[in-house]
Amino acid sequence: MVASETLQETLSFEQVRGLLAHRFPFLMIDRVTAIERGKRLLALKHITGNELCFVGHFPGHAIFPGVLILEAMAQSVSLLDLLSRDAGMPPAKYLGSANAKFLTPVVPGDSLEIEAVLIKQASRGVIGSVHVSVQGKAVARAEIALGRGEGT
Amino acid sequence: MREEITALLRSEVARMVELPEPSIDNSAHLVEMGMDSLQALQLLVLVERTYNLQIGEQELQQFTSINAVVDLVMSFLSVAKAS
Repeated sequence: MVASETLQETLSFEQVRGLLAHRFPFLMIDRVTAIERGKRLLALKHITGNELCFVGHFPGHAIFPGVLILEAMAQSVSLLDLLSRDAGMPPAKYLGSANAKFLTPVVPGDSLEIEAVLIKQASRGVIGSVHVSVQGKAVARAEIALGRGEGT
Repeated sequence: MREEITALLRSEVARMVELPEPSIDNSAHLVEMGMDSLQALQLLVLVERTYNLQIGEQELQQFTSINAVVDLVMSFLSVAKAS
């Protein structure tokens, strides 16, 4: 059962940091809980009241910005691409397009459960579909295209 | 079928390059219309999904114009039908 074995592969925060170029306050993946290389990836992003964005979004009414949920979704596609690509292929980290829907507000205490599915991987970029839920309830979904170079 | 594929591609290319659909020239070069390589990849995924095809990345070299993409999709469809 190769599929179930590959799904047991996980990444710690330090391993994620070793793969992605993003750093505080813009590293949006805390842990990868399952990887099926070339197919899909499950990741977690925990939202705490100490997130920098809550200083202004919004004062007295903390809502995690949709644009940062989108960033978490893009980073999950980037990670899946990194774990699935041929050696020597540059990382896909430049957002080309995103068709996204945000369904439910995300607040401190929520844990984003992110599922990224690979649609197409190519030398010029990657396209992935991402669903985000909190305790099983859908909060966002998107189809994201990432390029490997500036102005691809 | 050719007309249906052409209509799909004209609509999608117009959306991608943000031009009115009537101004889209089916024989014009996609790059000259403002499409980039990542958008070409998205166009490939669109025709794969719509017509249930598997098209390799190497075929993107033939994504030069709407007419060229229509020809490519028609050839893939005829192969799929024959097999």
